[in-house]
Amino acid sequence: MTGRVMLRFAQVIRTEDVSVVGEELMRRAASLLGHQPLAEVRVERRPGGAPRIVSSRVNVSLSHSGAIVVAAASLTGAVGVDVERLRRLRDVGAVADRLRAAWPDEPALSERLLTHASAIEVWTRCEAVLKVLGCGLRRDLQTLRASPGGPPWTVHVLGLPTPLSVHPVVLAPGYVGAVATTRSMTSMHVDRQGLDQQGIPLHPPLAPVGGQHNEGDLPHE
Amino acid sequence: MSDMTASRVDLEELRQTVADVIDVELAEMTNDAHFVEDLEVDSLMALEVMVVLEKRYQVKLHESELKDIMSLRKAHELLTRKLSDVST
Repeated sequence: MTGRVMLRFAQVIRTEDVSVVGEELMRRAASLLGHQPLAEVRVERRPGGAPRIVSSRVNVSLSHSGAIVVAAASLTGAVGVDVERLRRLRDVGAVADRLRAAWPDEPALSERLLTHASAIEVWTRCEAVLKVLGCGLRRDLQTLRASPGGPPWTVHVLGLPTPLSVHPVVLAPGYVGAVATTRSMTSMHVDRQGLDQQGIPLHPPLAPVGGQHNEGDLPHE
Repeated sequence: MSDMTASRVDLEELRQTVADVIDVELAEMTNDAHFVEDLEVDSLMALEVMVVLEKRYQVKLHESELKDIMSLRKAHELLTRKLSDVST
């Protein structure tokens, strides 16, 4: 069985808007993917804080970093999304050592190619997987093992019979991200959400997103 | 193997180290400030804190132990315990 994932993202100015914007993004993605009127879509939090849509088959995940908030929705199993603003890590070598436990064959983590950006990008893959598993960073990265090759990446999880599928997500310059699903993903639909009509201030439009649009594959608003 | 003992986990030095990693003022890094809820530490920052503490104190920390170091006091307790285990 294969799956489709919808990503909706926005850029916020005020950090206090993140939770409101995030919930709105999840509601809209779930509404479109689940063909449910927006007014009927409600978000609640699981113990631990992970979001879920009340009385819906749509699975959702939420991430924010810096000014970017992104919601992922899937009808075909659990989904996890992570976005990170690129920055300088305090000890990129030590972080890469940790990440190699899960991504032992990743060239971007090799001594020759390692950068702060590449380490953060691989980290988003791990975090997306951990969100699918619903455990965050409470699980040792050694229990994850990515197969050589990719993207998309295939990640085996200790204790899970089937591997997860992980795809890169490009949302805006200066940010990296990944989305993980329990099914092989056939398409990813990425939308920048215009929430300014809701009274939430947004920055001017972001740079165009390349390579991941699959217009026509999923319904539009 | 480190020759550190439990008594050498200096709380103020630990405060400075963690504050540097997560980029907050020392005054904000109170003993019981929750790294996530109060200081907005995300998972990547938490991983950075972990690897920096591993190097500084020469102990092995697992990702699954992060939940045990979500405040300065908890981090100090865990490091003290780990170093005590090493020295005995």
